[in-house]
Amino acid sequence: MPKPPKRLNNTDKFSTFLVDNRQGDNRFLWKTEANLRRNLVLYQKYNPLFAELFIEPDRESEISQFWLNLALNDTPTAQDWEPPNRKFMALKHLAAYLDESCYWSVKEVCGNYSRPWEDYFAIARDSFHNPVRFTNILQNYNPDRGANLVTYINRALTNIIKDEAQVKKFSPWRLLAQKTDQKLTEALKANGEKEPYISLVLVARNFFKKVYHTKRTQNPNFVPGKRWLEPTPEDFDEVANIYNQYRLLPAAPHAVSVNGITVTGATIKNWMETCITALQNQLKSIPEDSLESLIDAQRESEFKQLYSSDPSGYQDLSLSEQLEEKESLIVKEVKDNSNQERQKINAIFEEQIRSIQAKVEKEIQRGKLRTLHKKIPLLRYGLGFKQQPIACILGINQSNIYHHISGYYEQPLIKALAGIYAETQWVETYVSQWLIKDFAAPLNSDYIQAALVENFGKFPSEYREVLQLRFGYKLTEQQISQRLSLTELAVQERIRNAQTCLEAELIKNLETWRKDLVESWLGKFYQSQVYAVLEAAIANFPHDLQNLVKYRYRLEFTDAQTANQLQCDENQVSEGIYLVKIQLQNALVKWLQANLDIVLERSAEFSRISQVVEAWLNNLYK
Amino acid sequence: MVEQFVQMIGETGIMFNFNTANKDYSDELYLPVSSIDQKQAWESAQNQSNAIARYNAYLNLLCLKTFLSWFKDWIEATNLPEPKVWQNEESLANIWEFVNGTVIQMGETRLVLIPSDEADAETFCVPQEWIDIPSWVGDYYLAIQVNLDDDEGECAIEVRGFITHRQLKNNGRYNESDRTYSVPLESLVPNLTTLELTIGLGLRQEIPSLTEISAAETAKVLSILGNASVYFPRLRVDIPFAHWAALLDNQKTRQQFYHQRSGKTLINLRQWLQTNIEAAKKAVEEIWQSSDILFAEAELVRGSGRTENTSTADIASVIALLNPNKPDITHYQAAGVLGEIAPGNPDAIKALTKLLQTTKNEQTRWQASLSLGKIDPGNPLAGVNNARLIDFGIQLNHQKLGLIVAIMPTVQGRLSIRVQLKPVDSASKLPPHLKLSVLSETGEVIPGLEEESGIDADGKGKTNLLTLNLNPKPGKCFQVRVTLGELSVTEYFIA
Repeated sequence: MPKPPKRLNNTDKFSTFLVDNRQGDNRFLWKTEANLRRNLVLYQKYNPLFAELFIEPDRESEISQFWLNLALNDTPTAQDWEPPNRKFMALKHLAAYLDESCYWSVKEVCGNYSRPWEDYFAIARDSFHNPVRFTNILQNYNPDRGANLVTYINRALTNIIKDEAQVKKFSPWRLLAQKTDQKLTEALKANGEKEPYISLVLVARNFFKKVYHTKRTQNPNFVPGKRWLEPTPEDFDEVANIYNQYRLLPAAPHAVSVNGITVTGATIKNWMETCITALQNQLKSIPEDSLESLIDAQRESEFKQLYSSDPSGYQDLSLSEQLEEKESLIVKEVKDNSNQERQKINAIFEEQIRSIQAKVEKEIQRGKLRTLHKKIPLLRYGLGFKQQPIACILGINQSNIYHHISGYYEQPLIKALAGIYAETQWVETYVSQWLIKDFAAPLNSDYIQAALVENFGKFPSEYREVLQLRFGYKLTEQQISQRLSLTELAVQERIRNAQTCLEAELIKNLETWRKDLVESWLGKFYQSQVYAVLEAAIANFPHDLQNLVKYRYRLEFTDAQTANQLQCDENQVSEGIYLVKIQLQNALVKWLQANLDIVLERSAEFSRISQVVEAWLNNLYK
Repeated sequence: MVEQFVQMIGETGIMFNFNTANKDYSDELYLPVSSIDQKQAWESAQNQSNAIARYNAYLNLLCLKTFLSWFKDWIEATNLPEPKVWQNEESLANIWEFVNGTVIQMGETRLVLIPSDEADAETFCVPQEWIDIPSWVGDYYLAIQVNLDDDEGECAIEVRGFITHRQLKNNGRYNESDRTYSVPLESLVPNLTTLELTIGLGLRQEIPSLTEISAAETAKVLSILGNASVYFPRLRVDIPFAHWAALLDNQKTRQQFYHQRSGKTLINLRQWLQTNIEAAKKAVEEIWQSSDILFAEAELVRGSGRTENTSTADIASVIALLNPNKPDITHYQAAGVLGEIAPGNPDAIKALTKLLQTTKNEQTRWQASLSLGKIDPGNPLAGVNNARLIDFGIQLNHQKLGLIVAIMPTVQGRLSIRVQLKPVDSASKLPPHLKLSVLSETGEVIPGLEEESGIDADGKGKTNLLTLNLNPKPGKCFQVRVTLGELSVTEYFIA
C-alpha cells in the first residue's frame, strides 16, 4: 500500500482528498476539491475569527472544531454570505481533513485480513461520504474523554472496517453476482483471458447468478447486511447441469456450442473463481473517477465538460456552436413552423395552463388534491427535479407525481394540440376500421387524428393508396389485387406494412409532441419564475459582483480576461464567482421556502439548485 | 411571464438549452420493491420445478407486485378500467414454469410485462409465445429491468419503456434459436403518458390461429418435457413452435406439464379404493395414510382389545342393532363398531351392504361405507378414509393437524368426497382463521366449498372440525388447500 505525501498547510488539509496516481508509479496524491478551497477563502474573508485560526499552522484542531460546530450544531447563526448547504460543506471539510485517517486505519487492518487494501479503503471512504453515517460517527466524538478528533476517528474507522469486512458488501460472491456482462468481460480481458473462454464463462456466470440468487441471497432466511453465503458444491453441480443442457441448444452462443465440453460442478467453481480474481484485480487499480465520485456529486467539472471554454479565443464561438447543436428538436420545430402557428401554440398552451391551474385550485378546494400538488410543476419543470426526489421533498409517493404530471399537465396540453393539426378529416376514411377500433365512441379521436395528419404528407403514396382502397372504399383484398395487378399476398403485405408504418408514426408523433412541445413549453413556463428570482437577486448585487457577472457570463470572458478587465488577479475572479453562485443559490432556496413553503434538506437537492444556477449563468443570462 | 417566454422563443430559442444542459425530463420509472413482496415472491417461486423456473417466477412476481401497485394508483384517477392480472395464481405459476412475462389487463387492453435482470442489456427480447399465440397477445410490451441488489443492497424495478404488438411483430428481429422477437432498447417509448394516450387503438397485428395437436402428440411431448431436469423446455428443437404453442395455450395441458414437472402428484382417488388396506397401513412413510393410523393414539383406546376378544355372538348382537326399526343414531354407532370388530366377517359385510342400500341418512351411509372398507377392502360399496399430517411449524406452535379425505362410491358411478380438517390431538381445538378450501383444477375456490375456523372471546380457536362435501363427476380434477395467513398446503386430486 503506497504512503501518501504530507499535506503542508491548512488549505490543503481541509480541501484535498487522496487519489490513486494512475500514471504507473503507484503513489497516492492529494487532489484539491475546488469548491472546498473556495469555501475556505470565503470563510476567511467574511469570518474574522475563522481567518485568525486559519492563518496559524498549528491550530487545525480548533479549525476542525469550528467545522464540527457548524456541521453538528448549526452554529454560529447562518449569514447571507454562507452557502445554503453550509452544513454539508462543513462535513466535507472534515472529511477532507480526516481523509488521512482512512489511510492509517486501512494500514492497521490490512495485515490481518486477506482482502486487497482497496476494499478496506472503500469501506472507510463509504463511512465518510455518506452524510448520515459520517454525522453519526462525529456525534459520538467526545473531546472531554481526552482523545483528539484524529485519534478518535482512527479508532472508529478501524472498528468499522473490521466489522464490515466480514459482511456482504465485500463478499466476492456479491461482486460476481452484481457485475454486468460488460464489466466482467473487461475484467477477464484485463486478466489475460481470451475467447472462447470468456464466452463460456459469461454464460455459466449468468446461470450461476440465477441459482445463487434463488437459493441464497433472495431467500428470506438470509439476513440482509450479513455476509453472503458461500455457494455449495450442489449449487455448482446444478449450474453445470443447466450449462450442459443449454450448450446443446441452438440458442447457445456460437463459442459455447462449438467449444462445448460437458462441464462438472468443479469446472463451474473454477470458472467462477477466475471471474472473482479478475474482478478483484480490476478493483485494485481504482480509477481516479470512482474515488472522486465518492467525494461529491456537486462538482463543477460536469459543467466544465459541457461548457468548456476555449482558452485561446476571445469570444467562445465553439460554445455557441455547441449550444446550437444541443438545441432540442423543438427549436427546429418552432423555427420551421410559421410564426402564426407558433403563436397559436403559445396562445393555446397559455389558455390551457390557466385552466389547469384553475382546475388544480378547484380540486384542492374539493379536497381531491392537496396544496402540495401546486408545488409539483415548479419542482419538476422549473427546477428539473426528477419524480423520486420530488416524492421525497413533498413526502408523497412517486405514482402520485407521475399521475399528476401526466394527467393534469401533459395530457391536456397534448390534447389541446389537436385543435391546431386536426383540420383534415381524413382519418375516418382511411384508417377507422383497423387503427381506431373504438372509433365509434372515441375518447381520444381528436388528437389521434391530429397526430396522424401530421405525418400523412410524408407517408409513401403506395401505402396511402392501399389504405384508401381497403378502408376508404372498402374493397376486398382480392379486388385490390386485381386493380393494382398485385398478388393477394403482396396486397396483404403492403396493407400490413402501411399499418405498421402509420402506427409507428402516430406514436412517434405523440411522443414528439409530449417531449418536444409540451414538456419544453412547461419547462420554459416554470423556469421563467425561477429565472425571475435569479435576475432579481443579481440586480441587488454590489456593483463589483455585477461587473464580474457581466464580463464572465454576459460577455463570456475567460477568468484571465475578466481579471485583466477588472484589474485584479484570477484567484479573485474565481472567488468572486464562487460568492456569486452561493448568493444566487441562497436567493433561490429562500424564495422556495418563503413562497412555496418548500424546504430543501438533502445534499442532492442543494446539488440540483447549484446546477440550476450554474446552467442559468452559463446559458441564459444573456 | 408568458409574454416574456413567447418573446424569448421568438428571439433566439436559446432558452431551450436549459433542458439540454441538464438531463431531460423523461423519468425512468424506478420503483423500490418492498421486502414483504420480496419474501412472498420467493416463497411462491419455490413451487416451480427447477432453479431456472424459480428464478423466472421470482423476477416476474417482483415485477408484477411492484408495477401493479404503482399502476393501480395511477389508473385510479383516470376513466380507464381497473387493471387486473391475467390468469389466476395457479395459472401464472404454470406459465412462469416455461415462459418469461406477465399480462396486466384493463378491459380489453393488455400490457405484457417482460422483466430482465440484465443491467447492460441493449435489446428488448420478448418470448415468441407473447407475440404469436393469439390468446396471449398484448397491446403494449413493457421492458422492466429488475435490480435485485443495487449499490445500497436494495431491490428495485425500472420501467425502460414500451412498444406495441404490431411494431414488435413487424419491425422486431425474430430469432429462431431462442424463439424471441427483439428490438433495440433505445427504440422503446420511455414515457407511459403516450401509452395512456393511445389506449383503445387497435395496436395488435392479426395472428393466425393455432393448429390443434393430437392427444398422442401431447402425450409424447409430456413424456419429454414432464421431466423437471429439462431446464429449457420452450427451446427444444424436436418440438416445433406451432406444437409447443398449441400445448401451452391449452390451460389443462399446461397445468398437467407443470404438475408433472413440479412433482405435484395428482392423487387418483379411485386407486385408493383398490389399495389393499394392509398395504396402506404398512406404508407409514407415505404422506397419505389410513386415517386410523394417523389418529392411532385416539383410536387405540377404543379399538384395542375389541378385535382380539370379539366372538361371533358379539358381532351378531351388533348386527341386530341394524334392524330397520332402530333409530338412525343406533345404526350409525353399530356400523362404526362393526368396522372395528368384524374384519372379514361375511354376516357383518352383508349387514353393512344392506344398510348402505336402505338408509336415507347421509352420516350413516358414510359410516357404513367406511366400516365396509375396513372389514372388506375392495368391496364395490366400500369407502376409504385417508389422512395426512399438516405441520405449519412455529406459525402454529408446532400443533399438528390432520387433513382427512374420505371417499365413498355412489350408485351413479360418482364418488362422494368428504374433506375434513381437525387437530391430531383430539383434546385441542383448531387455531383461529385456518381455512379449508376446495378449488377447481385451475385454482379458483369453488363457491360454497370454503370454511374457516372460528375464534372465541379470548382470541383462541373454538372450532373442532372443518368439513366440506363434494360430489364431482368422474375424472374431474380438483385441489384441496389448507391456508393459514400466508402459508398454505395444497393437494391435487382426480375423482
